[in-house]
Amino acid sequence: MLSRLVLRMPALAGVILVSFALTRLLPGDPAVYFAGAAPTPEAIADLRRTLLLDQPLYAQFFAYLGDLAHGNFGRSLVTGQSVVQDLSTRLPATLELTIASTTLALLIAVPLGIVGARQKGSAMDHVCRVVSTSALAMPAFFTALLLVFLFYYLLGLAPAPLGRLAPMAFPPPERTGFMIIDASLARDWAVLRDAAAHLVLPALALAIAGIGPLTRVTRGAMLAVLSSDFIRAARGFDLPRWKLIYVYALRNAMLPVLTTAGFVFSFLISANVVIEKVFSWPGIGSYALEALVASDYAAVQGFVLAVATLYVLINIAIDILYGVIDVRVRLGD
Amino acid sequence: MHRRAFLQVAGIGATSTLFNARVLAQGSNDRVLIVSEMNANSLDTHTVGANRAAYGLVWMTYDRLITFGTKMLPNGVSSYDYFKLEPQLAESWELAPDNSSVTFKLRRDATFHDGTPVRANDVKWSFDRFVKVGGFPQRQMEQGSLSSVDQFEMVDDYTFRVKFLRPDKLTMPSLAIVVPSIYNSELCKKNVTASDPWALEWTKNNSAGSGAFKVESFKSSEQVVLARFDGWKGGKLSKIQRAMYRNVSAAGTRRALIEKGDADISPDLPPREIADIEATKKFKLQSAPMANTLKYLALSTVIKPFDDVRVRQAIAFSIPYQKVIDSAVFGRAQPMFGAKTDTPVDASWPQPFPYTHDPDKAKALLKDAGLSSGFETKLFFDAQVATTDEPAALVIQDELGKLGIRLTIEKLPDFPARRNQKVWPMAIDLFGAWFDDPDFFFRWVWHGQNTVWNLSSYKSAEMDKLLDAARQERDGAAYASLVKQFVRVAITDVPVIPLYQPLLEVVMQPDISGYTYMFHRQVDATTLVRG
Repeated sequence: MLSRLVLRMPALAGVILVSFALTRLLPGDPAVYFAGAAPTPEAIADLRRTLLLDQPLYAQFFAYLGDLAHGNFGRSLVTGQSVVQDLSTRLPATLELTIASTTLALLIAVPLGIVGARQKGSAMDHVCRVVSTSALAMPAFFTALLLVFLFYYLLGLAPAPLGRLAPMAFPPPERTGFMIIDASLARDWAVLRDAAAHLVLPALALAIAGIGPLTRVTRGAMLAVLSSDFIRAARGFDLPRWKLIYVYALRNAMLPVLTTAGFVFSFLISANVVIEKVFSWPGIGSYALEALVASDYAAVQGFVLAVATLYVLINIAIDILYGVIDVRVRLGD
Repeated sequence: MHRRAFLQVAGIGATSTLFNARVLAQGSNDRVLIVSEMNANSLDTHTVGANRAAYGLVWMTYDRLITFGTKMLPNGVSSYDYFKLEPQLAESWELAPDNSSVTFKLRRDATFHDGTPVRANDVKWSFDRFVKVGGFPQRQMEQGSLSSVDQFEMVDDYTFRVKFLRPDKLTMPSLAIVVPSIYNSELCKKNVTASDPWALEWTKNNSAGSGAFKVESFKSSEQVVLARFDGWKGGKLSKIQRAMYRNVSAAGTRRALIEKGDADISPDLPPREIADIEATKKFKLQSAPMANTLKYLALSTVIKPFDDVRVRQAIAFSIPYQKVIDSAVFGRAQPMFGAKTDTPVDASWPQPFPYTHDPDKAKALLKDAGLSSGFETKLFFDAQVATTDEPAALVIQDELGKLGIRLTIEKLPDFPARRNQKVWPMAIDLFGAWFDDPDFFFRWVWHGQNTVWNLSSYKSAEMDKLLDAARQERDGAAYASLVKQFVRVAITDVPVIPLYQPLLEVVMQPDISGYTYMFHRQVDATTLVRG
């Protein structure tokens, strides 16, 4: 575990350097953006001094590294808060949504893929293919608006798309930042229901974007496994069908599915941006987008670093899961 | 289950457990939910980068010495009145006979939210603060010749004097904008640190005012809940007990929330949605032309061929103004074209320019300039306002194409952060000034001091002379004459072509009244009434 983490440190160092360089390459000047309603040349110069933008680049970089070493990611100009604080309140919202939607996507895609593989070429297989292709083809923004229109506006089944809780509701005491977990810990069932109700539509909208690749990969992997020797042998031993498919075949087909799930999870974190916009979800996607537009250096750098760290952690988690699922990986270590 | 029904059930469920009565049903007639694209990023306008929503918030949570009165617009919408100053924390004020200072008598009954009485030492501390903290507050107040702590004098506990640096029409109205709010100095001083002598870090997330509303909860850029301050003395107590301001980025979502009755007010729907909502006749729409605000096309006077005034005039004659207004904002704007004469008839601002869509005149002018075969150039606009500016850019591109001018359109996501670069041959932009005096608007856009808003890099000795004179002029007739002269120069030199004056259109549930248009363009919950 530790060695895995150490091996990935150079990647993070690279991310720090690149995100710093890229934000400085943005043509915009944050001092002009944030100078307020009276942006006189003096006001802009004042702000540049406050933000250390009047210093040479290398000095800015070392100041940034020094801050990072103290766990200080700087201050976001858009929200006016420290980036660490922003990310720590917003990251759980994004993660909660992404985890829910990846789980949802897996729950829909894996059975679809299995059905497609078992009945290859059948009408059912074609249905699966149409579902996965159209899910892949729908832009997340459109799906999100469509779902809001249907389930909130027309049918009135879903709550107002106003973030994680009803507007006048009070959030449970914050422990993990995950609304569902915090509400459960506080035994506040009303808030738990409210949070769950608010999570369903955005999670579904996001999941749809992940169903396509997951179904395809599951179907392909299952096809390969089902035609392999050991399955044929198992068939010969007359093992029950469900055991054959769900225990032996599925377990062996899981590796590519897991890899794809990792990709999908990472991809959904970025797809979050538009979903967060439609559902007013207070996550890091909308935060980063706003920061980028305003050339809000600290916030952009903090976001990139946080997401890079997240990717590294996901990769490590998947590596470990490989070992759990596949004996060969464990033996290879 | 229906949301409201669900919440009622949830509410019953919540009250049954001790201390858990926290989920509140909406729809009571003393609270409002306001959804908009931008939410406050600070509780204090003195902090670095405080946004426009923060201005609107501070307007409600703090008081000033004086405030603006109200008036009725021709369409029956209530608006602030720039030219009518009224008492707020000061019960009266008196100008020195020689016009060298103004002395304010403070109310004796006003208190801050924590019960501390408001005294002249709080005013002195607050005024020193906006000078000393630098950045926006200092520079904004400099515009009104309020730039030195020596100008502010505490005479006694309830008397405060401001000495004038020079005759300046903007000094008094400057005291009514959001920057010179009065802070609870004792409370702030408890929260200063060595590196932060003015407690900016603290006031960013905490409120220390005496305004109509207290801050109940604040999540930067996300939501603010305000609760009425029952001891408010700065005006008529609000009918609204609680006001919630919530950020909802997607316009489609804001519209759905209004139509379903889950949100009460949306102040920033795009013109297209407004047109649709108006057609349903189910909601109240309050429109006001944005005071002292213009959407315009700026031509750079330092980039060829726009350094030639004939080319600029040719462009002004080749824009189909009505078509721009129709396609950009669905006709929802004040036209700024087609004035009857070349000479301004009055000193009002904004006022229409005499240009109209006249391709023949444009062709003749281009021929004069030796450009009858046209040229290539670029038009820039802000991606964040693409819903209005992209259609406008396309219409302009199409019309200029007919004259042989080949236009490349550039949509910039970071347009506001690049205004100071002044490298755009043509750009669509918007400027709104806080003060209604025409010379104030002109100072930002046309003056040779070349602020970021002077996208044209325009410099004219005549214009600068007129503007500098107008700033000091106190006499009404002489001032009006100066205004007419500099508007005339702007028309002739035309570095900036007004496209239209935008409207601020606020959609609300039919049971809400009392909306008043404010210079900061945010919704002021103080005057709202439900039912």
